Amino acid sequence: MKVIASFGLLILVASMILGNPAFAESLDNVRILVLNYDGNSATVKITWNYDDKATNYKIGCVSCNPNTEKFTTGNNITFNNVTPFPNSSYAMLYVITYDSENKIISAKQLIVDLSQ
Amino acid sequence: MKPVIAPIHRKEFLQEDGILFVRTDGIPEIMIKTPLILAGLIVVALTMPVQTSFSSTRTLDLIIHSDGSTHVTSEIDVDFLDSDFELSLFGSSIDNFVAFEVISGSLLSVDIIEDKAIVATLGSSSIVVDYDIHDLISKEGRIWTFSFDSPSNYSLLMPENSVIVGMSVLPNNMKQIDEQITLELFSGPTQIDYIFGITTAPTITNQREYTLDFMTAGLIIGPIITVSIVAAVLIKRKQSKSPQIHVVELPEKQSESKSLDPETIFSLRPGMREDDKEIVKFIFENGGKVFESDLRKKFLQPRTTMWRAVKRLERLDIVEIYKKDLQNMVKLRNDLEVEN
Repeated sequence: MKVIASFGLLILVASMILGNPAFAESLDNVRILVLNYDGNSATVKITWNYDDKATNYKIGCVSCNPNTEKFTTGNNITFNNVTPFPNSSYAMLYVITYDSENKIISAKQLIVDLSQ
Repeated sequence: MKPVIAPIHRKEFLQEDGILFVRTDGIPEIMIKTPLILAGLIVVALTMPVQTSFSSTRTLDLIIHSDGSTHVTSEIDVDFLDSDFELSLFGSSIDNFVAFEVISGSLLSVDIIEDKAIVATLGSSSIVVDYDIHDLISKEGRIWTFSFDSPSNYSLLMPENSVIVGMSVLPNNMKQIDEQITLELFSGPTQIDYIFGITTAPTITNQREYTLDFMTAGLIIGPIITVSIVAAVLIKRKQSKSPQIHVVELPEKQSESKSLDPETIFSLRPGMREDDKEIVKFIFENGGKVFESDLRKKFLQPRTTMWRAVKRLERLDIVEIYKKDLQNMVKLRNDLEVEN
């Protein structure tokens, strides 16, 4: 009985931890919203989960020519003039999180189909 | 001695003059041969570029490993008339060089001299070379840089969990297989900066694909699991309660404490026989219950006599008899009433 109850409590706590974005690792949860796309370039809104260890974020577009990058301290950014690779509708972006000492905590590649 | 030596020297000198005269005779022959040799050399020199132009790179595939090395695989068409083929490598730090013929798959012998490989093609028309090179990747801080000036179009497989953060040229095509990105690039100089991150995200089509993340999954699955476990615990508890009612030991222990003492019994049953009273006392002293066999042993009575005595006490509602471990257990009752 006690074992079952303890196991249940463990699962409950684990699910709460997993379910709570405050306990999520850096860039565990990244959302991308293509606000508009005219066939050449798009405006993209990127949102990511809060991480108390991260103090600064670098967001860049690799498929843009020339490559572009932006910095923010928040957990979202709106990126203008995002262009896809030639002859495709896919754009390649990235997000890098930095800690207070400007060291990279994590990075994530984002491949976005701008046409959808 | 001197008069003898002098004529000999003079004579040799005269002979040398004669040799010089003979050499002069070969001049016309040399004048004919030299233009022929020169013409031959010119022909050979003109033929060399033609021979090298027979080789061409059919495919070039590069795989970047996470340790900073690059694996190169290239299929090259070569002139089958040449016994050797000189291949320019993309650097001098070469490991694991292997060359083999495409059709037969047989290995070919290779000599590597700095950034050149001389492959004994042995009449092959198409060969594959395979090697690791350490000259294409550099690293500064956490940023790795791939620099390559390719003579032909090529494919580049990025390492697992790498995140491309800069490209000097845009690729002709891009594919993503699992967590690795393959780029198809044009010939010419290319520089790609990358770092190692967590994971590359899958291709994102819209926002809804990202809604079922850890948070949502936790919020859905967590309560379901919790409710299931609570229900299981409650059912288990309910099931475990009912067998407790059937536990024999507990009511017996309760009855022990409530067993009437012999004096009370005797007062309630004044007409009891003395030998029966002894039995009652013995039962009471043994916790309110004894086996019939123990009574026989104690009072040294035959089975039938003792059985009659016990039954007599039962009729007086002083004891109850029940089976335990295939024996007769005799137990004092605790609900003895006044006899009418």
